[in-house]
Parts: sequence; C-alpha cells; structure tokens
Amino acid sequence: MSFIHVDNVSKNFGQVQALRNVEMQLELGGQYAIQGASGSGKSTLLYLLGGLDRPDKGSILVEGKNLDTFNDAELARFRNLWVGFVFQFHFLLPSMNCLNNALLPAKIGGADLSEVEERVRLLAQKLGVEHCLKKSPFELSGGEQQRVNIIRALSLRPKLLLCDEPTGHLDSENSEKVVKLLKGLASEFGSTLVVVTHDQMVVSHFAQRYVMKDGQASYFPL
Amino acid sequence: MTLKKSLRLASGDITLFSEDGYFSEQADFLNDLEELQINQRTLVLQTEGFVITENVSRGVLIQGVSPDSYAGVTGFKEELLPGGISIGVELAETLGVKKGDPIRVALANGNRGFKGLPRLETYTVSSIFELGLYEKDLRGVYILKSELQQSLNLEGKVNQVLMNIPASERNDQTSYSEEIENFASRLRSYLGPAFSIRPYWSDFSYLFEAVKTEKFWIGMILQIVVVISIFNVLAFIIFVNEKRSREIFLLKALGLGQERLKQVWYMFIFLFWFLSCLISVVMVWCFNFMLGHLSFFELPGDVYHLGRLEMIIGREDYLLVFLSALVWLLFLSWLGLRRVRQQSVLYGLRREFS
Repeated sequence: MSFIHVDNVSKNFGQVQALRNVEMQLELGGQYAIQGASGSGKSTLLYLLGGLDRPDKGSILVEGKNLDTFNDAELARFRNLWVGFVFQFHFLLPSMNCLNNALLPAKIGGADLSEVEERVRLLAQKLGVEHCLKKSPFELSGGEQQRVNIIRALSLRPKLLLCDEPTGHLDSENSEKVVKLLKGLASEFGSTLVVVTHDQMVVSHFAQRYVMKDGQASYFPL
Repeated sequence: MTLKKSLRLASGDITLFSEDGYFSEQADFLNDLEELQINQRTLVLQTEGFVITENVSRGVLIQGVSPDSYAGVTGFKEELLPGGISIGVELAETLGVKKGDPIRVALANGNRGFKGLPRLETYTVSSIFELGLYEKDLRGVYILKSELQQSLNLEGKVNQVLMNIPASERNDQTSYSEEIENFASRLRSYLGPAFSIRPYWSDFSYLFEAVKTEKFWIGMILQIVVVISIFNVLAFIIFVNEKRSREIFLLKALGLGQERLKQVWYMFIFLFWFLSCLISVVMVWCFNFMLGHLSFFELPGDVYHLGRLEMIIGREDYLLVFLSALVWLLFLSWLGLRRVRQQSVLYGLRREFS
C-alpha cells in the first residue's frame, strides 16, 4: 500500500474543471516533482493532498485513510501534524518575529515548545539564518524569508512536505540551493517531498515526476 | 421639574402690566378679564429692594401676593404668614438665614418721614422655596400683598395681573405654548395698547436661547459621536476582513481548526471590548476632570445654576453602552467568522495572498 493514493480525483471551481480523474501514488520518503503550466491544476492537486480542500469526486487516501471522511477538526490536525507547507509567497506573519513564525504550527498543535524551538534553532543554523530568528520578516531578504518558511514547514517533522513553487521568486542560484536544501532535509526527516513547479531546472533534480495538463496528471519516472 | 414648569411656577401663563404703572385693584379692565373667562388670576404688587443681614445685602425682586389666589394661578404653595417673607434657597444660603430668622428689607420708596430715604422693614423668614431657577431662587422674595401695599403707601394698588388661560382655550391640536401665545395676542387686541401682555417665558427668553444653543451643540456633538462610531465600525470590518482574514487562512492552513479559531477569535474580541471599555472609563474620567478644572469649560454664572459642567453617567448607563458595544462587536465578528467558514482554506489562501 502506497503512502498516499490519489484515486480518480476531480475538482471544479465554478465552471472551471481544475482536476479531472487524477490518479497518483506517492511512497513514504519519496521525492516528487509536479510540473505543469500555469492553470494546469498542479497547485490545486497539491493543496488537496495537504487537506486544504476536499475533492468533488474521488478520494485521497493517506496510509489507507480517506481524507474525505475526516471532519474539520481531524483535517486541521492532519494538516498540523502530518503536513508541512512551503508556499511560493512565504506567508510569514509580519506581526511576529521569525522564531515565533516558525513556532506557529507547534503553538497551534500544542506541541512541546522547547523541543520544537531547539529543532528550529538547529534548522536555522543549518540553513544559515540563525541571525534572522529575532528579526521581523520584512527585515529579511527573499531567500532568507523562504528559508524561514521551510523551517516552519519542517518544525514538527511532517511526513509530507508540500512545496508550491518554492523557488518562484528566487534567482537561479538561490533556487538551486533551496531545492537541494528541501531534498536534503526531506531525506533527513524521512518525509515525502512533493514540489510543484513550472521551472525545468527544479524538475531536473527529481527522478519521479508528474506532468499536469488540463487537469490531468501523467507519471514520468526517469 | 422642567425649565418651563419652573418658570410657570413663578408667574402663571401670562403676566399683564399697565403702561401707567400702578392700577387699582378695582380697575374696570379687570371686569373685562372676567368676561374673557379668565377665572384663574391674581393681583401682584412687584417692586425692587434689598434684603439686608449683618454682613450681606442683596438686590431682590419683591412680590406682594395674596397666597391663595397666587397659588391658584402658579401652583406656588409656600407658607406665607403675616409679617413673614418667603425667600429662595440660593438667597437663604447667601444670607446664611433659615426659617424663623429675621431679615430686613429696604424698599425703594415709601418712607413717609424722610423723602428719598429707603424704608426698612423687618420680616421673619416663613418659608424657603426652590423653583430650580438660579435667578429666581436668588432674587425672588414674596411677602403678603397687603403688607407691601402698606409699606409702599400703595393701598389698593397693584402693578401686575398674573393669569392662566381659560380651559376653553385648550385643545389637543396645538401645543400649550402656542395656545398661550394665541390667547395673549387676543388679549392684546382686546385690551389695547395701554397694557403690556407677556407670556411667562418672555422674561427668560435669554435662558431659552441658551438652552437652544446648548441643545444645538449637544446635537452636533452627538452627530460627531455617531460619525466617529460609524468610522470605527467600518475600520473594524476592514480590520477583520482585510487584515485578519489573511492571518486566519494561514493559521487554518497550518492546522488551526474552526472550533479553536472560534475560541481564539472570541477571546480576542472580548479582550478588545474589555480594553475599549477600560479606555472609555478613563477617558470619561479625564474629560470630567477637564470640565471641572479648565476655564475653557466654565459656564456663564448668570444663566446656569452651576458654574461648571459635570458628566453624570451612572452604572446603568455604562452597562447599557458597554453591553450594546459587545453585542455589536459579537455581531460583526460573527459575520467575519461566517465569511471565513464559508470559504475553503485553499480559496482563502489564494484570494488573500494572490
């Protein structure tokens, strides 16, 4: 049984059919790229995987459990404990410093803060942004903000790391660094990594790829 | 007691003066009043004078009245005994006298032996009244008409008729003030230019002007309060919808459930409300302090009883305002939460961060 099984999933937004009968199998610890043009449905698929929305048709099974059967509280808990999101736009809250931003999932889930803070500091050291933790997000460069974003996503050691265009607003040098970081950290934590991108350079780092076109996914392993 | 009621208590509906000054209590025009069915009327002898104690003297308006008929017209029912004088509460305080104390009154004329010198009479304070009008309570004194006539050598003469309009003039279509005005106008035509006829408020028109101005400014201030409140409500709606909804969707993406969100949200709202209440109480206290201490807020003493304004806000008033504000806040936050609930996290994130 695969870690995640996307079974014949469709999703509509009004008249627009974003996903059409998508089939997908993701293994625990696997690293995947989902490639596609803008509007192809790749981000929608990613967010459905992360329990941010529910499919109109079909099901998403995580370790055999259908996400559609989860109530709101269970789905929120799933997002908190199982999923780490890395968004294209960092989505860091300007009203708190970077350390507190990184600790948000732990605070929401009621995790042991001292343990998580220790992990956050280690990650920050590893990613070279330890000096940024006491700063506000707006004091940081784009690359630094994205690193804090990654730290927040990994702070609770999620089983599923979902990245939506993580290099979307970075230059090629920084993009490559971020992709390598993501892959390395996901391996270290044993997380399944799914990266949505339209950037060929990013895709080239992944052996397992899905290509999205008109709401449908095709698997292209190397 | 309202301002108009207080004024009426001092003079009845209409006051009639003769242009010739004093007139006989048996004058012919009094029969005309009878014909006009003015049954509630009283004759008054009014003059100016001074009340004197050992240390203080005050200019006063002395009214010589017949207690029964005067009470019938005005409703003024203070005890007035022979040799007695009824004075206002402010005057009593100024002079430092109480019921039963003697006071001397200097009348402007009437000294039989030495022309040009005032006549001094001693009266006993038989009652202390309070009409609620500072000027009346400070300057009005009442003695028996017959005693004043005797002191002024004006036996059988008076200079005012106070009257109430006949019951037949009353109707439900017009206000009481209008009825009085209409009747006074008819009386002027009937009696001719030899008499001056004034509605009870004419002597205090400046007071009404002051109250009118005051009402205008209170209205303006209330309107400003309402406009500011509307801006606050709009700001709060924008704050909830535009600023906080972004954070809410992000927190939901990171695993915050709807129930937990509701708890956090309402806790935030209660905190917001509590702090607002606290600040408003402090502001009221500060404003009250300024009213009591800054000369800018001083009131003209010749118009108002008090030289200083003071905000009188009771516990019930605070409760009413604070509870209304809480209900309003809860309603607005419920609308905000409903909006968040109706949108999926995915839709919200895309909309808020696009």
